[in-house]
Amino acid sequence: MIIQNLRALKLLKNKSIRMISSVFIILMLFCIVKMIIPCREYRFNAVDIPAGEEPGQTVIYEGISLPPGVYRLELEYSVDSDLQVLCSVADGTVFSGGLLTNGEPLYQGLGSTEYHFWLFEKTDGLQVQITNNGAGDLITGNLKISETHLLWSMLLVILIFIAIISYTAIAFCFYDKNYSVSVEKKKIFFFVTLIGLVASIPYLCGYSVSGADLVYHLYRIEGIKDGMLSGQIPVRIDPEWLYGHGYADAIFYCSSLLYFPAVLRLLGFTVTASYNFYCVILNFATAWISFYCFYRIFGKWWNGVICCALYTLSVYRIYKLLITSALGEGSALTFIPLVILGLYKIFAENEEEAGNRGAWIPIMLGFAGLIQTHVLTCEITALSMVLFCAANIRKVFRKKNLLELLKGAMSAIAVSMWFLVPFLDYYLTQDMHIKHVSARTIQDRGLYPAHLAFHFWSVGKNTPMGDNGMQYSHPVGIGLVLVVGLIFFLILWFSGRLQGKNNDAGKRTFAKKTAIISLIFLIMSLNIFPWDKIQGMNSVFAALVSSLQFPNRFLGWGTICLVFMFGYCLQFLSDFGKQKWLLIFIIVAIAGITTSDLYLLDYTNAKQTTYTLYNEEGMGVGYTSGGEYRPEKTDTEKITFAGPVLGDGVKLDAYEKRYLHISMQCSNLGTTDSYIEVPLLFYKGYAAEEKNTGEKMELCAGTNQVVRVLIPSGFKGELDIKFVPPFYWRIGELVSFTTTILLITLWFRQRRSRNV
Amino acid sequence: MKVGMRNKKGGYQDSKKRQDEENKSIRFAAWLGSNHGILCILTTIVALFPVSCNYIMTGGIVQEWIFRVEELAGGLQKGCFYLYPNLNVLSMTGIYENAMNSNFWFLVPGFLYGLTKNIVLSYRLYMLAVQIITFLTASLFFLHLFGQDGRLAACMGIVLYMTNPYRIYVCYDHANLSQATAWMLLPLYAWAMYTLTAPGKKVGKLLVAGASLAFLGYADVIFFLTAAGITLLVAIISRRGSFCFAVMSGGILFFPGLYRLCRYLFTEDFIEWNIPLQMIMGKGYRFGQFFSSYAFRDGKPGMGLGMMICLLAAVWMRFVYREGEKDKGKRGFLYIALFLSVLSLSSFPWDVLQRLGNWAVRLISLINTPSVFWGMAIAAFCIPAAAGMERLFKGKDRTAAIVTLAAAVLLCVGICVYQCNMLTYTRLPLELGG
Repeated sequence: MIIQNLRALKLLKNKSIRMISSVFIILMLFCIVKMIIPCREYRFNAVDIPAGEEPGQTVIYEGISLPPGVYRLELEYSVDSDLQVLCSVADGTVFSGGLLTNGEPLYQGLGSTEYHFWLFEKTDGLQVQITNNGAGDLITGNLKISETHLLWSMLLVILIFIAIISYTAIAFCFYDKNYSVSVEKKKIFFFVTLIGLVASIPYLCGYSVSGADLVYHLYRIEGIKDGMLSGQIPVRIDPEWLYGHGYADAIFYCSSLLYFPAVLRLLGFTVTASYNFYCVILNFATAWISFYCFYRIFGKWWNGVICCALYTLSVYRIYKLLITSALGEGSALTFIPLVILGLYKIFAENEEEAGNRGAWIPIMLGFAGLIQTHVLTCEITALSMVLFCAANIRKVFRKKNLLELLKGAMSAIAVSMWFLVPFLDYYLTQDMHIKHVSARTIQDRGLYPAHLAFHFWSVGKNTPMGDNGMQYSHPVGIGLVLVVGLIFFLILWFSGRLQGKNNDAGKRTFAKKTAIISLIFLIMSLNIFPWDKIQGMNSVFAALVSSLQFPNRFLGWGTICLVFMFGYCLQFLSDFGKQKWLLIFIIVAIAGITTSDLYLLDYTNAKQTTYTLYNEEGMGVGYTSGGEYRPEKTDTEKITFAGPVLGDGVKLDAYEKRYLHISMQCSNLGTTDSYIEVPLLFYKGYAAEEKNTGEKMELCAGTNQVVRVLIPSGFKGELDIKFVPPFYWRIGELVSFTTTILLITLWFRQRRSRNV
Repeated sequence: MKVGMRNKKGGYQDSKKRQDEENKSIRFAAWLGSNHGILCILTTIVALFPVSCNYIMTGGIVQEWIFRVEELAGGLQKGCFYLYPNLNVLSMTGIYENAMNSNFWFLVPGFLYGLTKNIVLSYRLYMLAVQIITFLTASLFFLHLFGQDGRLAACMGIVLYMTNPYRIYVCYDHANLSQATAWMLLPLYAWAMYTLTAPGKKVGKLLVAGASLAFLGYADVIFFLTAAGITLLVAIISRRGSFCFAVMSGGILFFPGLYRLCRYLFTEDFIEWNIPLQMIMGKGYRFGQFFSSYAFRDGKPGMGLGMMICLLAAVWMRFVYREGEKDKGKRGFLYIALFLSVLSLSSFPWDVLQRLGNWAVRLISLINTPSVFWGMAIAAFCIPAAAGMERLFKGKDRTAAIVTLAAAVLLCVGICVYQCNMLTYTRLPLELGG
């Protein structure tokens, strides 16, 4: 209908629009032409650096002339220490921000450094610098600066983005002028966009607020990018992680959504820009999804908007996404409202009136999103499903409800098979470090009841621990406003005022059960909850509890349940015509958001340390947080950039490593079988074969769990070692792909039939 | 519909109506006694919080002001008035950002200090006077701009102007008293220029406008240049010759300051002053920093929640109800504010402009930070923000309007209180040697 109306407006015949379109087309064509022109290379011969250089900065090349562009710098070197020398570029002649790079630290095990720098202005004064901490002898070799197309691809993306925004705005203006968009729709758009924008303010400042997990998640994005460059689709092993040894993060920690910032990186955006862009999109997605869900639950736009604000700007979400930069859990919080919508449709709406029809869709979307962003949150959501089902046990076993639940669960699993199959394969068949962390106790990391209702949170320094009390505690709470909502609901309930029309009985009961479940979640986040005892019951509980890490993770579900309670209170006051109370409640919500949530957001943005990263090399490649996804017995401290290690009698004639693919020419001249160890962590899936004969070589774990290729006596040939995903992983991918296509087709059909 | 009519009526669309409007001159004393007046006075009192301490707070560049006042007092005792600080005063503090600013407005505290030898008293009285006069000039401007029918908007404008985080930052945090004085005079200049658009004899008005511009120049030369530049830009766009004459007369009255500035920019007369040259582009605002309220980074306060709510009210009325600002004059302030905001961005190419020559390097270095333009932008935003709030108030949903208005006022005052409290809470008293 909208498209037909827009067509009728004949916007493309409008002179102004034609002019704008021409400008866009010319600019885009310019970018495309620039991308077609072959890239240039600039080579410089090696220069001598005086031996025993004092600590400090040395300019090794200067006066380099370059036009604007994104360049790749390659410098050959030899150094006898790791991370003590930094190679970077500088230019005092370009404007501030005209040259962006963090350089790269040099490693003993590497022969050359390669990194990107962004130059936005023509220069004749570019310098290549070496910053030496004085702990290593350095010899530099030839320098090569290669032009890339990344500047133009990045500009093209920006132009496309601006064009989409501009055309949407123009189309809206014309549409509104001619067909008058309803005031309600405009109000919804205004408020939800505003909420998304406010939540995104810290990401619009050009830096990344540094949380404890920031670098880890930036590595994940870079891992996906490098994985795609290495030819893996989908990415399973992040090839550059752990000094090029590869890390199976993507197998255990699904990165579906991170493909978006990774693609931005491939298109030429800097690390910080890609991360910030992703977080902005995430905030808008959370705002719209939560609005949609609460609007569908309560049926009133203003209630949807208030719940959307309470959820999107909630203390816990700010804590996770901004303060700790927990991108996985922050992304997972986007999908939780969908699950509660599905549960509401199944348990609160009348199935006789087909109220629960289609409830499986939000459940499927919610669970698929959760599995593919943060498995732990998915586990907690599964627990909450169990609680909701237990609380509504009679309704669960009604045919229609059970069908919706099963459809939701099965389709979520089918959509996520591409991730679940390798995940379970590794988890069940491999000895990974994650299976050995069950000794970690969590009860002392629980909260005090005072945490829950704390209002004026600031950034904080500590995760609550037994001996710290609440001093400088991280903002782990749900906020006073949501507690007020819960208390108000409980007062209504226990004073017997929670009455209404008979057809609302299902909704009322659901609200009561949600209140109890939210209380359970809140108690589970406290340090009085006997986590240690549960952990001691058996090995399964021990592993599950330990993997939780922090009891405050239950606040995610606690928050969504309490937002629902708050929305229900608003609904109740509105339905019963208690306008004054309704106004007071709305004012309480707004006051709470502005004095607690926005205060926290603002304070974090102003006070927390920040990073601005341009090229990934600037942040190193060794950090793995807890290192849970490494093969057990791997000592990550001993891993650094290294070459192959040869066993007795083995001779290596040629060796080349590109990401996870190693080609080498070798021979075993000895009388016994020997081996070659290559700098790759030994994960299931690696295969080695003789290039010419196709002979498969035997692999096993070598020193510190690296890939060891067994070389039989008398062998001579070319070896290819690469990561080959097992066939059943591919089947999982096929199932996910087919299910997704089927679901999309089904959705289109349903939509079309509804329109007809 | 009603809103549109009111706007048309109050919007100075034609000269006859404007004449009528002017004839109904507002009785200021009566207004002060009204609810709006009392609210504005209370807001001003909030901004006086740090003055109530019996000391001068450390931080910012307050030391430079103290040295200037001491030098002035010494000079007055010898019978001379140093319109500009001497090199030794600046080199003692090492603060050169106000090197081209005059001591004109510091004459009174200098005199007072000479009499009492009490710098704290001079500072407190001067600050008190700055806040009160700022309130008076803001009242003059906003009451005149919005007329008798727009008292609510005028009140909102005054509240926004008096409590805006950038002004509080300039007065107490950065303690740049030259700029604080310029903030005091900015509404006076805006009022003078606005009266120029009214029909009638222009000579007197031109003189007033010129004098107010010169006064601004004697407070802060960057404010003078920006105000003059924007006035000329408006004059060209709106084809108002009178604006050009006002700038000219302002320039003539500010001749000593302009002469000194030109000597600095185009000659080597100030070479021994060693006024530092710098690139300022990197010190500019990032887009997200415009929206901070409670806390800010690197001396870059945002617009504050109160201003944000008022501006959102304006956007809301435009977007949802298609009721935009109909008065071109008021709309002009929005464009000025947006222009100034762009100047304050870290992506505005100040470094490239510095390549125009030595004079550009010196002039832009003198700006010190593009943030100063954001301050001026906030001052200009007060007008569309206040007007937006009034449009909302005249709209259909009165309850929502009252709640929004109350929220805006409370947040303006609340954040001002928070900012002043945190400053006094975290800053040590300045140790005054001798």
